[in-house]
Amino acid sequence: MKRTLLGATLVLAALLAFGPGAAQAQTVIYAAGADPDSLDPPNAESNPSEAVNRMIYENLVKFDAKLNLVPGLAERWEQAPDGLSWTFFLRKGVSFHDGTPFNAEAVKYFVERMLGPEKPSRAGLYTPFVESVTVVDPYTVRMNLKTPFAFFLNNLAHSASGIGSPAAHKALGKDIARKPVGTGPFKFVEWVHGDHLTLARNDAYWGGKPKLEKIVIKTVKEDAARVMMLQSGDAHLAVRLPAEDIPRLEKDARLQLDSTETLRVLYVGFNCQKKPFSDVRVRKAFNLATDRDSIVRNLYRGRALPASNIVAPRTTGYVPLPAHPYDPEKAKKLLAEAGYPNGLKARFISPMGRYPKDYEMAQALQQQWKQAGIEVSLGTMEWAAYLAATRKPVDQTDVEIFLLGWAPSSAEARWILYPLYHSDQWVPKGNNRIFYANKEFDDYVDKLTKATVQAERDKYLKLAQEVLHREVPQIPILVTKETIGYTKKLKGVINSPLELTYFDQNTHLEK
Amino acid sequence: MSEPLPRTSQAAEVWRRLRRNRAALVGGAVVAVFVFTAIFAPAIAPFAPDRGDLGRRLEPPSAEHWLGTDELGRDIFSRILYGARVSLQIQLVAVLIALAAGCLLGLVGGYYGGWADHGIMRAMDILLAFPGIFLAISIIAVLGPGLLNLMLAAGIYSIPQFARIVRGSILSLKEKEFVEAARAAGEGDASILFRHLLPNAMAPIIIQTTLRMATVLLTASGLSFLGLGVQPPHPEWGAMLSNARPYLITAPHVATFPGLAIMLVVMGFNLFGDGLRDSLDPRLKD
Amino acid sequence: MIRYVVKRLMMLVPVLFGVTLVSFSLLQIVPGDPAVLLAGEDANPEFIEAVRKEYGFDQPLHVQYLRFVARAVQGDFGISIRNREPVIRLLLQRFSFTVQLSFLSILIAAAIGLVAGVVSATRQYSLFDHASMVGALLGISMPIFWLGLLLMLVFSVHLRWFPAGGSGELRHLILPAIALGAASAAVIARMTRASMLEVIRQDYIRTARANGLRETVVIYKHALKNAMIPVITVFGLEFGYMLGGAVLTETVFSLPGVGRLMVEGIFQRDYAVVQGAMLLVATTFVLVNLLTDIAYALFDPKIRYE
Repeated sequence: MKRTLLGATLVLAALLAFGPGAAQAQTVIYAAGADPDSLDPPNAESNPSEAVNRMIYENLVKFDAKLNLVPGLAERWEQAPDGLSWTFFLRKGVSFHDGTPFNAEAVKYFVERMLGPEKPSRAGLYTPFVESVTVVDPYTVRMNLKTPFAFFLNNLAHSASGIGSPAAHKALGKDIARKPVGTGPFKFVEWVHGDHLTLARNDAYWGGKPKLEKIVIKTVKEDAARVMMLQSGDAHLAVRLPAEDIPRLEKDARLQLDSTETLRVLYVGFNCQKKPFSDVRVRKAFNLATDRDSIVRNLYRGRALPASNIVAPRTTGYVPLPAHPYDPEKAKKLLAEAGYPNGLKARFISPMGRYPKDYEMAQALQQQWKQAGIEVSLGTMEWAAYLAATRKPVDQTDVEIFLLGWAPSSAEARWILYPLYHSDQWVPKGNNRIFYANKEFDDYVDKLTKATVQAERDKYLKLAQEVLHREVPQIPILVTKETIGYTKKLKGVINSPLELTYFDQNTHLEK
Repeated sequence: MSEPLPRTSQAAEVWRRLRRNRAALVGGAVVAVFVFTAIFAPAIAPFAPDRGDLGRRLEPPSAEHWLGTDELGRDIFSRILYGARVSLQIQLVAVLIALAAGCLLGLVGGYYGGWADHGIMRAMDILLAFPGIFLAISIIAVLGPGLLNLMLAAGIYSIPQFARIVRGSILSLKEKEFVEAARAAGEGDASILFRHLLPNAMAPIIIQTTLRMATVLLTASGLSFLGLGVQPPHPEWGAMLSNARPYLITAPHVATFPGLAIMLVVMGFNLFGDGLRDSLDPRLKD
Repeated sequence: MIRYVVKRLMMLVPVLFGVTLVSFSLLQIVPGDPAVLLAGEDANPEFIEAVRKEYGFDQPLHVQYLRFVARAVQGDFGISIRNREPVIRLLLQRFSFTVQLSFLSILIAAAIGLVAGVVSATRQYSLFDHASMVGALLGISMPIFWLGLLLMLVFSVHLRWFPAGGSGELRHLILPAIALGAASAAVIARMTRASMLEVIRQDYIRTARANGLRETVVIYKHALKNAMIPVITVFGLEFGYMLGGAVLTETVFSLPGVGRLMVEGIFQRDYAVVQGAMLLVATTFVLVNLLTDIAYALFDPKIRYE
């Protein structure tokens, strides 16, 4: 008797624990590869977060599909002739999801938050340039710069510049990261960490009532599981599809595949202050021993582009440069010249699972370099540890060679050249993890930053990129492509080169 | 020396029983092949385990690559053979750690009793409070991932089993005549423990060692699968399986064979261990 | 009986002390300043100092330990540096999921294991007996993660009976529960078979048979009832192993359980989460064992409580 009762209770409890799955007409299931980190744009550091934030928040200036700058919450803007101030004329009749009106005060609050003591992680987009913000009238705001800055509007279009409700930020403080309030077409409903995040339509959206009612973003880490969910119809859309599965998925008549060339370049970095990597001949030897074509063709099945420049082609300010040849024999000669006739040994680290096929690529490089007499030991670390390891100051680091990717989320070349290679950006301060220092290069970057005339800006952009091509302080390997898949019924999906897949008010599901 | 049975005839008896146990023979054969492979992997393997051809990735089994190629075009068969080495190494080190520590704790606890016993057993209870592989994961959480820590974690994870079994045997053995006799002859504790008690408790220890080899392999490969143990490009079976996951649909053979290897070896140790139990200690049967 | 329960409860004290001590010592053993470990390496100095004060890392170890226990008892496991959420919220969310999964697994394992065990015992050395014992051997020898992948390959990729990913509905849990329960089903089957065989050989069963009772009545009313007693202990143990094994299943099937939370915590150096998960899982397992022992004592009239 007791046992039956116990058994019945167990079964009942188990049944109660599972609610029925609700299916709604305009509900879209989006299978993402990772959980967002923060839903507070100034503190969001990862693509999954930025994709969600693009639906909740809006910027003064937006990127269109080709990364041109177009009006967002600002209808138009003016730059002062000296380049030292920008005036924005704001859209009227916009309010945040909590009812707070969007106006010049809200913009001022946002920018001052970026400049202020809170120091959000993306504050670097503002602090070096912005002196102050002035409210001209309720719908006009002026930003006063410290120096002219050629790519200021790109920073405003950056995902981190999504403007949140000042009232909500005052009330919630840091908690805003998990209770976001913006002006975008979708508002936040709930977030179960590691499982799913739900957004609902913002009925009061200024751009018209969005067509989708609900968006459920599920975190599905396994590539194979995302592919299967897409095929079985358990997800309407899946991102980061593995290259191997694409040919098969392309044959599925119900699915639409979309491959977008991103701004991300995967590269191998050296500690340029440490022997033997301080010798340009050694770095060139690594470069010559790298068979990019084989990696792109075989490992990525053609879903990537061999890179000769750390700046990807679709980035504003890209300069085409000659491809780096593959020549292991010449690599050996260079090594011999540099004093390593018998090859050399080094340590190489790579993340695993951060970028498509990153660790596989590292293993492939290990094998290729071996042909030129370079023996590297390969190690990996979890992402957070990896970042920490490559962020140690020059006198503490034990990193020799590492693999990393970089994509400028402001879509312009300066946000590569400056943080990654300028000598005042050595880690831990900036992102110059290779401890590169070149006065000529620094000078070009400083000049292009302050240029107010585009021709001048482009001249120095070219010179700077040519220095890197010559000196190979790092070796760019390839430009990634992001392939997403979705049911053909889903219309109006935005797959941005910034590796963000998101929806707007026009996205809808056909019956 | 007064032992229950002369050792030679005991061994002969065990061997006789074992020979009749077909399952145990199969298990023993699998274990033998595994050990042989681990030792002679470089001689048997047709390819180097780290040598890949990017142009020939994820190929299905063929005459050249018996088990196909993996995500970097490496020969899966060769990697599995070398993987036996890694596995055996982990198993041996982990089980030795557990054996040494567990026996010592069990001997001391069982022989001296009282507070020592109480303390040791409570400590074992604490380790056992972390269920299954969770204990090993917790140890890795403290020590950090890596091959050495993996062996240590798998070892510590197995200490309580040995401690309990040895203690149990000692408790029943220490009242026996031959212990009394040794004590009367003026032998010290250490001598009694290691020359009389331990040899007589060998049967359950041997059984446990064999079965534990199976558990350790499952645990270690599980940790590597999670990314907490051996890291690629080392050919460890659990890590190989983990790397094969993205290709589950397009190249299922890459995930299939390492798993099959783990299962076969675990089964071999289990069968052999069960067989040993039946032969060494018929009373324990069923 | 009450004395037994009290005595059993008393035995919990040292174990719980040890468990808290082990999870407490995590931060002491991991290299680095515990305040920095908890606050995150990129935290600003003021925040690190605040954490140091709050956790008492400037105090002697025993004070720190007592504070740790006092906070844990109140359900305060600190804040996750990764999610900026109170760890207890993450733990409860994820833990309820793992418990659901383990429950379903143990149901499946018990159903399969008991049936296979009973039938094998009643038809000892039959084809079914051999087959189910070979099955049991496979069950305990197969790595959970591999079985999970195989099930996914067969039932999700090829047959498309079950979804390969996602969570929230029962159908998402079937394959993971089978993968997780296979080894337990094997253990339960073996145990049930052995226990049944022993009982069937007992005098009172022979008597019942001799008295002309129908075989099914003999088996199910008399034999099974007594054979179940030792099997009960296995349930508690197996439930615990499921809590552990769930780590692997959750990883294979991308499920949001506490095991994956812990592994991710290790990777992300989110030590508050790791500490909390260690403490929660171990404490649960200890309590489950307590309940099992008490249930065992309830069911078995022969056990003596001294």
